[in-house]
Amino acid sequence: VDKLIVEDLSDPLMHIIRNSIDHGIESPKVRELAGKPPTGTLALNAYQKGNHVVIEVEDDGAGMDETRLVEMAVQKGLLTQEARTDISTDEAFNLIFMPGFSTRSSITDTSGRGVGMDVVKTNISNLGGVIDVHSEVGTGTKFTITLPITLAIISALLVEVAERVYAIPLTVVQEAIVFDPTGVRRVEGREVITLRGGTLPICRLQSLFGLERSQSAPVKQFVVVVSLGQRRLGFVVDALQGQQDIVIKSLGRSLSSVRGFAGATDLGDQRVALVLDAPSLLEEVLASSDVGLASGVSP
Amino acid sequence: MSDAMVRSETELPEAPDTPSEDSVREFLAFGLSDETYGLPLSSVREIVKPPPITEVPRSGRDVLGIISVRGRVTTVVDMRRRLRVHESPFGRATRILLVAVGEEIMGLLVDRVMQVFRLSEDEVEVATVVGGDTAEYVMGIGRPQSVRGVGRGRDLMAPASMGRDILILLEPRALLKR
Repeated sequence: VDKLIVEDLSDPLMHIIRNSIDHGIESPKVRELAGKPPTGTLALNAYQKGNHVVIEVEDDGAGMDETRLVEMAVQKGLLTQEARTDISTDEAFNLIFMPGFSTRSSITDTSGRGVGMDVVKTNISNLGGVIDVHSEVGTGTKFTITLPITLAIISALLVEVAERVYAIPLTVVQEAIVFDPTGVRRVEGREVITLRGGTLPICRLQSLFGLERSQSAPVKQFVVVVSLGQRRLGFVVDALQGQQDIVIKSLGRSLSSVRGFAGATDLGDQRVALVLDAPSLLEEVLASSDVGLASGVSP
Repeated sequence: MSDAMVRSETELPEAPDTPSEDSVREFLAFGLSDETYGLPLSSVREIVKPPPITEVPRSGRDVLGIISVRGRVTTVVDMRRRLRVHESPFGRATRILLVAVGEEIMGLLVDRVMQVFRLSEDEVEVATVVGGDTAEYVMGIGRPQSVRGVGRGRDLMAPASMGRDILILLEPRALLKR
């Protein structure tokens, strides 16, 4: 697992474990009455499943009572009376991840430091993971955390520019449209097009990267609109190849001075594609046109 | 194995018990245009045929691009450009040497890979004659006195060519500096 994930995982994991010990496992007396060994067992399992790591925290404690969870949720106003009837078992257990939900009112030493399971869930979602819970009254509770092996797996849009393939992280891609060269205007030394009434600065990746073509540019090109906060930029590309989950690998130290790329990815069949660093390119393109503007020189 | 360990072994002064072995260093000889160069064998991890190379826009002129070697993204430097020798198109003998440079494994594109030379200290001359821009890469000049090639190289080095073989020994660490 990625080191960054491990660091951010320890807190939520500790919380789940504390919770299980504190709320899940009963006192020895209760356990004996239930015919269980007086010592509770908490099993921590981790295994790999494809591109993901699954971590399971399982206790043989009291389990969670579905109906009680629903009642609590209604009491706390997290669930309406009408909704309670058509809630599934899974949904009921997942109520514990709602903010402001805690089935115990008293705060203990082991758990309940004011951090709820909602925080646990948020932390895990921030890592791109999913948490699930299954429980049976009297048998125990099992939390299942599924995490990506590396934070570096991202969805990307593969585009073609001058016969080369580049990957643009999908998180910054807003849309892709057909490029209309006749619609290009120059505003303050910067190429712009009009997109749904708004002005969109564009950047021809071929010239930005100084790529040579062995064939002439295709008649039909595309604009990939990337957005970062309020700023938007259109990258002019030759073709859209589609979406793919990629693993970003960093470029070596020898290329650390090269700006504009977040890394590279193996496309299989020995081909390597560079992954665009959209924020830095956005910064660079918009800044450089500002300079051109200030000195009155068009790029 | 850590790169530092390999390096320190080769740079250690002769251990008292085996002086003759330790003063001998092994170099992999490769050709660029009509010159012969040598790199410490311990720094060369692997020799591969050039896979498709992805160019990296805005990188240095002598950076050919990147390749993926078993899932690892590796920068490939054109040694002919870096050492400013004549560039011929890729041939059948063109190879990429995967070389440990500092903490990074880099690919060095060479015209051909030749043989391994074992050079004793008196066969290595500290470089003073090599000047110019590329001097920083050179750690010395190797003049093999006797046929010391190992393996296949023995055949390649006929006695007739003796004396003509001059190896320009390169310092791998210096290759990274740019």
